[in-house]
Amino acid sequence: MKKHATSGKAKGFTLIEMTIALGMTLGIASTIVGILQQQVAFIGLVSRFQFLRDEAPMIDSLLTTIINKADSYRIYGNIGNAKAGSGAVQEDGRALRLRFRNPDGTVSNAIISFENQAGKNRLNFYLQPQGQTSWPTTPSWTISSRPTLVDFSNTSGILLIAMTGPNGEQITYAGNPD
Amino acid sequence: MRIAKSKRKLVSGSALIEISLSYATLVFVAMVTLRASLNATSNQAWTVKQTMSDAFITRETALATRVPFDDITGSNSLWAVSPGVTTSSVTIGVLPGGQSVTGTLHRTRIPDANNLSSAGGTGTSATNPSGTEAWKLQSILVYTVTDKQYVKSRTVLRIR
Repeated sequence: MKKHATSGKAKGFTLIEMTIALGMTLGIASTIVGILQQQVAFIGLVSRFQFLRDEAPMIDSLLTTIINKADSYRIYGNIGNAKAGSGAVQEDGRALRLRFRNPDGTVSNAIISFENQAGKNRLNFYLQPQGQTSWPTTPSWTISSRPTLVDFSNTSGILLIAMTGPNGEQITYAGNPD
Repeated sequence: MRIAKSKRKLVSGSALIEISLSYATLVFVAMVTLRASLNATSNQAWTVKQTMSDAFITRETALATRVPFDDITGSNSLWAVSPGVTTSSVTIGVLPGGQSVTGTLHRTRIPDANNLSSAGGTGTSATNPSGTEAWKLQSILVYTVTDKQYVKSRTVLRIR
């Protein structure tokens, strides 16, 4: 940038210099905004896939481990029916009651239930303590609170677990007790 | 803006060069971050489709294990006798936003060589006196991620 100093006194920059500097400054600013928008979009895209990428495989791993240890299962429309053991269904199930045979010959029961608790969807696990007939009122633990819907069904001889994520994504796992 | 220290006056055009350099650097950084983002999203698409195809193929294994033997060998069998193949288009999952992910499923069943001739084998009453019948049920899922094609298969042995 040329500075006129003919008389030893600064007179400032020319209009062309100022225009070029201003234009390039605006260009730099818009580029920075573009990079920022790109990063925001990227973070949004990554987070939208979080359920399928991170959560669903972990849920599948847990459910497969649990279901494979069971001797048998039944599907119910809700946790109440599952606890009572009445009103089994083949589709549109929200609760899966599992029966485990212990090494000493006794039997334990557990329920995997998709339910809404305090306004929040949760996939919960209830374990009925060995030798007891009553069920705990609160879940033993929560498998996940990310799915917006978990559907248990068995219309073709195999157990299907269809999970819907927070952004409408869907994935279906299948399994059978060993 | 650069000032020559000795003469204490501005060098003509120095600011233009400096701004140009900073602009070029910024564009370079933008390109690098864009490339990194594209790489990350590409890997994510691969991971998600692997998850979906893994989930789908569990259904094939479970189905092949549970379907009644008579249905396996029946005329309406889901697994055509090899070299025949039953091919169908399947939805293996749904992406965020509702876009379906599809693949192509091929099913075939391969008789054991020692099956009796009535069950597709070359065994005889001498080599297979009990008339044991064994079939390998093979399910092959073909799907694409970007421009690459992937194949995942599961084989279940059923014997009676």
